[in-house]
Amino acid sequence: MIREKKAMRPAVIAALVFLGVILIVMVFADKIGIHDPTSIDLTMKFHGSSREYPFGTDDYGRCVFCRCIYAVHNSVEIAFTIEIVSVFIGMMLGMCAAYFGGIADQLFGAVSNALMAFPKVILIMLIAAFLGASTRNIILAMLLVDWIWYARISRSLTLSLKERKYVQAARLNGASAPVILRRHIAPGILPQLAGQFTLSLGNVILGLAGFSFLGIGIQRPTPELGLMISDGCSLIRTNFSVLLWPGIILFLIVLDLNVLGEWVSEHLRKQA
Amino acid sequence: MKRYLIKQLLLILPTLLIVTIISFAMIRLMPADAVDVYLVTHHLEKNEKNIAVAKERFGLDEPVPVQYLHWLKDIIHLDFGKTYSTNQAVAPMLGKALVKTLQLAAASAIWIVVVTPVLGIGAAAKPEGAMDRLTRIYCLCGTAIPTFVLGFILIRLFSVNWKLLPAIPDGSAVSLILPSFTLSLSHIAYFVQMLRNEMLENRGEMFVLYARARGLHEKRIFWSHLLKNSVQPLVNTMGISIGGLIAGTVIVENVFSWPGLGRLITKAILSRDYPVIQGYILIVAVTYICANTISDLMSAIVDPRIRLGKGDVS
Amino acid sequence: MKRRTFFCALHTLALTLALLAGCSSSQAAQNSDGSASDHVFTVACSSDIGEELNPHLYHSGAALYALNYVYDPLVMYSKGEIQPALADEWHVSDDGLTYTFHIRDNAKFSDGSVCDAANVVKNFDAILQDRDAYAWMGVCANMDKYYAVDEQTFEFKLTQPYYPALQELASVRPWRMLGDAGFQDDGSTLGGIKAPIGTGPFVLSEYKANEYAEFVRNDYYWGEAPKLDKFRVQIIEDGQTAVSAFESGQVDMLYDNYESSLMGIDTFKSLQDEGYTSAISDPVLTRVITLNSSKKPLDDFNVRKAIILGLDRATMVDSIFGGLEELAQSYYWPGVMYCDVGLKGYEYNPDEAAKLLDEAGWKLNDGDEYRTKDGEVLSLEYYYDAAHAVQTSFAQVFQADMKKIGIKVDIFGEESSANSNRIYGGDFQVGYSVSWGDPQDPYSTLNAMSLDGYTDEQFALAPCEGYDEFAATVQRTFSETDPTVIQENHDFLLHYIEDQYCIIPISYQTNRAIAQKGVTGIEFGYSNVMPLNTVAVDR
Repeated sequence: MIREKKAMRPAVIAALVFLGVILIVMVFADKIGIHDPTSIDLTMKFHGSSREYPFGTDDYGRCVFCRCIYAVHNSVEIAFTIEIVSVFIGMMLGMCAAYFGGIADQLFGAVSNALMAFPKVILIMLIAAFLGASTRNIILAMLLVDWIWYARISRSLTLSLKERKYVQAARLNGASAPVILRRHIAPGILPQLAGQFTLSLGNVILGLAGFSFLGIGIQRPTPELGLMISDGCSLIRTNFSVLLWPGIILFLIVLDLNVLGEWVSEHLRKQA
Repeated sequence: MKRYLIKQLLLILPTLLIVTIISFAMIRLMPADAVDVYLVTHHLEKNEKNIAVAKERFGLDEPVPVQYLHWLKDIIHLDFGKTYSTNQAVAPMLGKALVKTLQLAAASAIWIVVVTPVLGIGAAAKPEGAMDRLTRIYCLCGTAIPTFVLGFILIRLFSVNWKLLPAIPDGSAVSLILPSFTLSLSHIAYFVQMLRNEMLENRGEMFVLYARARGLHEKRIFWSHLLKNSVQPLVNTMGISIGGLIAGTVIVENVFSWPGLGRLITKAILSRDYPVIQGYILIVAVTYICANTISDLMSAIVDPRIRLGKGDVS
Repeated sequence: MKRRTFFCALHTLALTLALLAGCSSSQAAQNSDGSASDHVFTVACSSDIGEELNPHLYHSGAALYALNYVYDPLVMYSKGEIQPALADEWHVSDDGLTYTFHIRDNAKFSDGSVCDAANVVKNFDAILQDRDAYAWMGVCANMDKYYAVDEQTFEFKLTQPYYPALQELASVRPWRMLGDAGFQDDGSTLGGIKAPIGTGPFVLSEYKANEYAEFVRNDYYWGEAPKLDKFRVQIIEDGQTAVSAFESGQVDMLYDNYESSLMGIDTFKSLQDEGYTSAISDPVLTRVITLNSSKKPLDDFNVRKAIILGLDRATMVDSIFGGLEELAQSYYWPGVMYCDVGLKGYEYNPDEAAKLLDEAGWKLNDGDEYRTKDGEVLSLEYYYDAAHAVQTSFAQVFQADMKKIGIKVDIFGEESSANSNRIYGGDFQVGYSVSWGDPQDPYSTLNAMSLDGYTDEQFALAPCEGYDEFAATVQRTFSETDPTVIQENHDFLLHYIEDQYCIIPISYQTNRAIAQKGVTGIEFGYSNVMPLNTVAVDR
């Protein structure tokens, strides 16, 4: 087990470095990407890689490099938004259900069981399609589905935490429910969610790509990795590089998030 | 055991009821009205007369609870109504597609059942060995590629470049290979990782130490004690995974032109064909619930503590 | 012991699954073994032929290309001329009211029964039962009576003259003949047909929903026998998969028309360069962008004119279609009947566009990206069908070009039905549209433009000055019998459309096919016909 932990390190460091670079790129997107990622110049269609266009241009004469830069920014930002809000909603509902118990818990159980009876992808598709395909709606749909996992984990953690001595003591001292949940229970849950959070980030980015392929994802002309990849698939035989670059970037981001998520989960398992 | 079985089966009913209510309500709550869709797909003018006719056609002129009961009665008789777009009966359409999807899911399950033990046991037999490292890389990479890209790449390699396998279904069992492999790849990664971790963790467990103290051969310990105990959680997860497989078919079927539920639902959702969507929701939910119940029962068979309701099984 | 039990269980599970997967495919596998030596000619298509090939029902969901193989009309329409089909001779009375058709002697249905005047009467009976559904068809609306004169002669009388009557009879729906045995017992087809029996070159022999449809040669076909004895239409929705299946040899032909679009332009060209057989049709219909003049700010003539002058259509068409489609300068291709009226078309002149916008009060302030008037930004909403590659391209290019003259365009990709819902409801500012192609152009599209709420072009034109006269002229023209008057009226109508600056013609759509090497004889017909009648495979 110890040897294994050692072997994990270089991968984790590499992942952290790459994700660090991605973060920098995100922050300085408008400094690095000098071309407007949405401006179309049809006379510049399918140019090869050059100093001005490091990754060449796509079928609308847009700079693929700049589109990738902005796409990374958008994809990661969207995934983060979805996950952060999901964690928040999930934690709130899960904690409340477990802490208050009774009808609230039963209701929570019924709703989450019924929602779990549908595969996630299908549920998201249904919601997104009914709300109409748009960037906002796909985010909303993913939110509405993603919180369930966090809620279930939070609920089971809260159940055991609320029996702990220090929580009991706080309650005896007359602390109100919101205070106990915020001060004593939430801090105990959050780190436990970190592993799932990291893994989910990657999954959301991948999921967005899938929905773009099905035509209900992020809307054009927004540069987004998944959309760029699914659009690029139609050029797979003629202009492979248009698909290649966003593909590699997406692959690396998800891969590194996986490495990191696994590492975090393992760390937590050992702690426990 | 019998009591446990009955209890589990009874527990299905309320969940099913909730599912029917959800799928009924979902359709009724949608912003796009069934009547609107009907009129547009039939190129009918939006006048009072046509609206009234359409409403009567869908039974929308009755109170909502009555509509629900009517609908439920039809569903029990396996009558899912007719599609808006082409006016065909929904039930046989879904039935045919379900068979196709189950074929695909079953073929994927074969991949999973065959490949998982090979990689998982291979990796756990010698941690940090070449096999373990390779498996690890595969597990991390296998879950980082969008399914449709993987599908397109496999088609280009196996069908176009090497001309080994058909790209689209040609009626033979061979055409199942590529789509089912694409579908199972990420699942295998998940299971292999789980099996490997379980086995490594269990190595330090008491029953392994006892076996060793009893002087049993290492090989025997590995195969019969370690493996058997590590497989149980996988059986549990397999049930949930069935749902994942069926959901995964949505993309795989679109890539490989597989005439199953996934392709049907994509089309139905995009054209807002509500009766098809409703039927689909029910079929998937029922499949999912059944799969979960079966995996619960299987765990109960393997592990008596569960059916007796004793002990902490997690 | 325990280990063995576990592995037994595992293998039983695997076997069960294998059986489940294999049981229904084993039977099919035998089929494919048997037919491996004689491969069926396969065409990829993205739309299914539909559960029932009902030639009369408007909402049957049947694909037009499939109906076209199986059923024949009385007369056909090709390259601007009426051609014989089931009728080898026909006659129109001088007053334009009586149409007489002589049914060819060798017209037989695929079940061997004879197609005679009595059968045609039976078909007209069935079609006119659903009269309301086809109210927009002049022959339907003006039908007075129809009858069999003798065994081989069919005649109908209209209540008033209708010049495009023959052209309309050539439409794929509903004027096509179903064999006697195909009708319901009460002689109706509204509730479905018993069997798809037609006189066309091919017969539907096998159909699997969402998988494929197989057609075999109709041995009773009256015309020149098709060279293929059998072909299969394979339903593939994803273009990338279709192209791969083509390259792997599973599919023999890819075909793009307005019903089905599987190849991108770039893919078509690269396959063409690789030496595959290719064919491109004459222009079949016109792709346009419509500006809805009932919505602000498009109600302002100058804004519309500026938009059109500011759109670099030549570059747009050239880069999107790469020479496969030609820049359109009018709503109808000049080769369409009555449509060569010498329209001058629109030029590209961004400076003039900017000047027009300035005059209209939309000023570009220093440092601003977009023009404003009274603090309001000049912006448009463009809705398109996101599943349609060409529409997606148009929208993005339009957006980019408009930005150059200071107009903000928001583009929204929608799913097909939501988009058509919006367009038919007139709830759009800018949208994509096409003319209807042969044999409906120009009379059917003009008719729709003159009727309330039928097409987006009508919404675009209706608020314009002089529209009432336009609509009245369209309707009046239908009952004209003198070709010179009809031509004069078309001169007026088409110039009117051009002068309103509402409809921006972009390109004349062509249909394209790519086939394996050795395939010959790809000849195009209507816009929705898959050209297989003359296709042959040289081994």
